[in-house]
Amino acid sequence: MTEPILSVRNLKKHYPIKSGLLNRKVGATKAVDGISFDVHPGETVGLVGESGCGKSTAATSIIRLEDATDGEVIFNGGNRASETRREDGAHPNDVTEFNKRELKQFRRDAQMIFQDPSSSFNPRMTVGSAVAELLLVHGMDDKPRRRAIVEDLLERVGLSAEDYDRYPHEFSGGQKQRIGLARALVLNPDFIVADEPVSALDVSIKAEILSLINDLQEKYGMSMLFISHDMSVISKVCDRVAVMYLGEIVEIGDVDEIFENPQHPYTEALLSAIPTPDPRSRNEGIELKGTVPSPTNPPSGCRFHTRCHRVIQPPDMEFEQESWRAILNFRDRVAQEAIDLESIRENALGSQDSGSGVTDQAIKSQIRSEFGIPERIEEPTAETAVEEALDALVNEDTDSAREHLMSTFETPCETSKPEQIEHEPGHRSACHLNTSKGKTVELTPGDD
Amino acid sequence: MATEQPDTFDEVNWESVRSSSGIVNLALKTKLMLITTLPLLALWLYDRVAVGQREKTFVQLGKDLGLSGPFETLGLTWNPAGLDYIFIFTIFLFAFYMILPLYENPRMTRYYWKEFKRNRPAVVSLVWLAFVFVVGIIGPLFIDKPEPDILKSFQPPVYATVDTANIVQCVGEASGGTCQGTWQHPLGTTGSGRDVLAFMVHGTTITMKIAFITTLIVALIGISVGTISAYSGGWVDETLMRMTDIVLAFPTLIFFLMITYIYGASLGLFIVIFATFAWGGAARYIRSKALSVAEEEFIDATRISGASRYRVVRRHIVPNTASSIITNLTLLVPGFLLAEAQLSFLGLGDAGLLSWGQLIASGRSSLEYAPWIILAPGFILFFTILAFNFLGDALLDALNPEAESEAEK
Repeated sequence: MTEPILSVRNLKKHYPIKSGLLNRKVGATKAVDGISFDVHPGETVGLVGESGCGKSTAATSIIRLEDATDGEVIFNGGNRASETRREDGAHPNDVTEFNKRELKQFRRDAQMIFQDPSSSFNPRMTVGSAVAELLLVHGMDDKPRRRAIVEDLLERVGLSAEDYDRYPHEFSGGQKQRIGLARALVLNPDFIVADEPVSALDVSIKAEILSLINDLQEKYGMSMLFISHDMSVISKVCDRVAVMYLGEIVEIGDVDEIFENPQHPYTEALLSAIPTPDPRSRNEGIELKGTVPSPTNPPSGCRFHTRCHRVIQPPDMEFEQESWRAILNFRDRVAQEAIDLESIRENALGSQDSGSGVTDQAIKSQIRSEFGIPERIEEPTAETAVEEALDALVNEDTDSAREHLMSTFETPCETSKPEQIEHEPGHRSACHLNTSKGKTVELTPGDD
Repeated sequence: MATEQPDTFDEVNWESVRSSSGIVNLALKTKLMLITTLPLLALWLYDRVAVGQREKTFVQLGKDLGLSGPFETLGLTWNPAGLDYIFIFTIFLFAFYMILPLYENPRMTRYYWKEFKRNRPAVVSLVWLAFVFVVGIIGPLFIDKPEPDILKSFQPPVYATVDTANIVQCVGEASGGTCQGTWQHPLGTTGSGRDVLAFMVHGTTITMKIAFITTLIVALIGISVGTISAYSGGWVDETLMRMTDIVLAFPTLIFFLMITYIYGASLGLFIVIFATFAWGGAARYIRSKALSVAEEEFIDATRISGASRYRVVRRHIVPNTASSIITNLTLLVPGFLLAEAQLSFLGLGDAGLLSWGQLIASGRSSLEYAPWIILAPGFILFFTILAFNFLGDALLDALNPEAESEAEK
């Protein structure tokens, strides 16, 4: 197997939360919390996940716009091939340890395409000089040569040489993204990070830019890390894809393999969100309820268990998966003391016909219907626990309600962290459902 | 990799590129600035070291260089003071860093001009200020300083008359108890017999000195403090901003009166004190603008190109705060001009100074029969201040391409 051009090992980026008079650190937002993957020469790896999962932070930490908290980013592009670890275990190609001079050299070999074409150009600079600035920064003083290189490049990305002297506001979003591509290419890098390069564009322009990216990448043999929240975009450009959830990679593998055979429930949910062009096919979209939990205080165990539609049931119970999810949601809301009894009472009042007060029974069934818990749960122990919790809630005894729910309902997903399981060579996922299906893999820093 | 990929656009050998650099590659404006500033600095040092208190700089220079003859025929007897050196320096800065770039980038200039000329009053203002500028620079070369001559006091402007009871002697024709103005003193004379026109021409130079030097000081400190504060953050930001608060709260006028009381009034003192305590607003304004600019993606794009922190600030943050800087300065300058006039009017300025304010002050007691002494400089001052305000307004619109592109949508 050839040497990867980029290998990320256990990369972490935590933002400290400071408060108080002395700016004491009271916690950290774990935007990226230990991700590992490789990018091989000529390959495009996708990084996909919903907003706030840390994919853009991962990108800026890898390219070192921000300093990573922990972990290694080993970049073997440029003339850095075949370096071995030094005796103290540090790698000479570790981007996070680069000094000023090495970092400047690294900038020549790794560039980035930005998300928002409208703000990624200095409005007071012609686009030509914005692209040529990179050449100037790296010491090319020869102005005509700079201009020649940039004009040639502008033509290659589908614009004309005369556009050199125009200002950013004279271009459309798609054209600006072409210029952004030119800027990323002008130093002839081996590796490009594309941070949602098409998410701000119209659908028709999107396809054009994607095919341009594909063409250029093929032509110049670059490797690419392509970040997106859109699985359909990933399928068009990527060879492999890593699915991120709340700062962690939950599944990684070849695009075809992942699309045909997703192993992680979160990947399933993302894939089900791709619209199909056939109006007759009823899209059974998996709807993820709730918002992404805060990365400051991520859920225990598997981080996805708070929203997972396939969360594992306790060994001694058996439910409809849907009502199990509903019970867990109910339990979590009670635990957060986020049940607003007053508004539930009002809702109950609205749904009943006679206006004479609300009975406790009505409130309880209102709570059940709001959380989607069936009126009668098949499992007797569960039914008793829910009923007792509801009674306690109606009597405004949140503590004992929480007690009942917490002691009865517990999923294995929240108690232990899932291991990375290898399904096929290169296809790994981290989900308790798959523990029995494959062998555990552990990526260590030495594993390169 | 280049050999495997024949399609690669232009393989740059960076090792060879990096070796070539040096003074040859300085921008034209930097070269010109160096060429002009170094002799100025030399002259200033020469003035400080070799020229005595009572000698005139250029007379002494002529003697030392053995060029007394040619200097005399050219009439070079100028004796520049400290303020003159700073003034000339700011004019060089203005010429090479404002005017020259406009000439070098004709496309940009045309664009700005197209935007700017939509605003008619601003165009008129620009013409007026250009006129004031030219008069201020070259006027004193052609028109001598007005000397007091008590026999010629209160001469009326041409076509105007004054009661002979108020004057010592009439230069023009006196008939029937009134004295006619003459072309000898087109705008009349003051109570001490100084020619008002010549007074005003020399006053224009003072006005230009105030405008240029205060702009330089305020812009320099304001931009540095504002951008450093925004880009550094943390305790640097905290310290600089608290300093700014102090400057903003400082009772400049009282401080100026105190210094004037101890050392006596002078133009240099006025400029230095008022300018060094006026940058607070500019710094705060620029900081807030710079903070929002620093959030933009193109700053990240520049950082990722490998550009130094200085380059990011100098090339990307400062130019994008320009619209706020220019507006701020065009509103500050008229403030200084007014302050000078007001202090002079109250008798708190340098009485020997040939400024518009002093001219207005000198006509204070004779307003009843010699209104021209106050009216002429008063109008000029009024129009100049108005012009600065119009100009600031129009520049803000013209220098803001984003606002323009938004409006077109």
